[in-house]
Amino acid sequence: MRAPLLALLAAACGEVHFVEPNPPRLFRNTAEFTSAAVSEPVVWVAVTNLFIQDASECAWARQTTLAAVREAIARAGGEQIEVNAQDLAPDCRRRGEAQLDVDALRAGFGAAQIALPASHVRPLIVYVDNIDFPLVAESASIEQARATIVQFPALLWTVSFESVSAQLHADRSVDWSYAGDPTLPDRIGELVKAELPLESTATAASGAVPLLDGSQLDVAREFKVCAVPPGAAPDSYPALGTTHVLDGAHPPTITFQLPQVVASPKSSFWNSTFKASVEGCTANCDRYFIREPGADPYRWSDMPDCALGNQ
Amino acid sequence: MRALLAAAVLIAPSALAQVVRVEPRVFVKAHRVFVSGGFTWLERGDYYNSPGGAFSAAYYLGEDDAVELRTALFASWLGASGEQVVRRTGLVPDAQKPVSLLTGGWRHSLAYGKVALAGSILHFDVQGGLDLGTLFTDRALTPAACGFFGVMARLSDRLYGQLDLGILTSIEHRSTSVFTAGFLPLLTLGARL
Repeated sequence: MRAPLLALLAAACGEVHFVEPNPPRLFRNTAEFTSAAVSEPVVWVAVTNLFIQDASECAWARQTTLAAVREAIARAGGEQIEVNAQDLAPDCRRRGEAQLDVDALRAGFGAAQIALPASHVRPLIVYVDNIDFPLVAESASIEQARATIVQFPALLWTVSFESVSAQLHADRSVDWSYAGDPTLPDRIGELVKAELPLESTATAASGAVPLLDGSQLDVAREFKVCAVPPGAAPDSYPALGTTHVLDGAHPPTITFQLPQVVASPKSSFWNSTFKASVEGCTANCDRYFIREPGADPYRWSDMPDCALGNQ
Repeated sequence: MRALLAAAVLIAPSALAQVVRVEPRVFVKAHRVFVSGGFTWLERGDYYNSPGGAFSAAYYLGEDDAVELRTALFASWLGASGEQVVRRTGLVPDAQKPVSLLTGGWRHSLAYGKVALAGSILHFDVQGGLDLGTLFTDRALTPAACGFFGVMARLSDRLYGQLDLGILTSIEHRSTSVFTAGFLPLLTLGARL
């Protein structure tokens, strides 16, 4: 009973704390860097496997379908290379009449990579099939083609029934409707818009990112690096938690190592953002910083961490 | 029972013979103005020594109640312990330095009495009261209230002395806004106008 009464009395009488009349003038800055993306060329091939009851319409059906695919892919823009299309049902009478020529695909995509030495070529296979029944022989060759063509596994889009796209584990699929469907270019085009062109991280590292901006460099006398992300390149920034006198001739910087995303569909590409926090002092840097009334005073320049960090 | 009646008959005439004397009130205050000045000291645990001079004027509406105005000027300075901290670290107390006090309020006589003191009779009132006003500090003007209890004593026909023991409270902005309380004794000498 007595203790609460004394506490109440002490509180009622108003506590007196010692304060710093000239506290350090501090500011906080966050140096931020977001990685950029570069577009990769679209290197693709169409593989058709159509069954058409009226054989006289076979060529027309194939050409119309190929034209729809080409029109849609063209909407991706940028650099594009189409490898010679392959037809696995030349007469449109029986599925898989012809074998998929994996060597030809490999050669075509290899040639594209040679033609585009600075790019990351990740081929796109557009497989068109109009039979709602699982594949028997083509599945293995298509899988082989995806896996072994160039350094990156090829992407597989299907224009087919669900039974086929699921069997092939297609990356993306468009439902087959009928030969000559005028909506086909737009439906494939929606995929193109979402996924192409493929994107890669532009650089391996951020380069020197300034820790303080121009106006802060004019007024800051000392600074501390408070926190850096795991992606910061070792020794690319001033030591953490230590007071550094600002050298105007050599402003502090930091370099980030960027996680590499290579030839990724647009929908799954991400830009990496890095943030490093810095605390600057413009005056009274050797004076006391008191975190809250009654807290122990610390000279800012001697503190092992940043003062404003938890506020 | 008979013995008791006999004793009463013997005592009663002498008792009735005594004259009851009631002295009229000598320290009369009703409808008069009393002014006084003197010394004070504000002690509120704020690391400041705050002696000062106090002045008051009271008009008595009757023998028991008066309205009063009171002011005090403080000559505050940082005490030795506070000064030592300032010298060693440069840190200063967040309490504000009292400069002056201006209040107005009500004063009430609780009792009247007299005592024989050094061969003379001292007439006095025991009083209490409440003043509201403001405490001026080196940084701000803060709302203040002062409750007190004291003695007002007649020294001569026109002169009187007054000792009030007050508790002065105020709301002050330090590191945060705080309710402060301090002890405020006032010793003044005055005159009836």
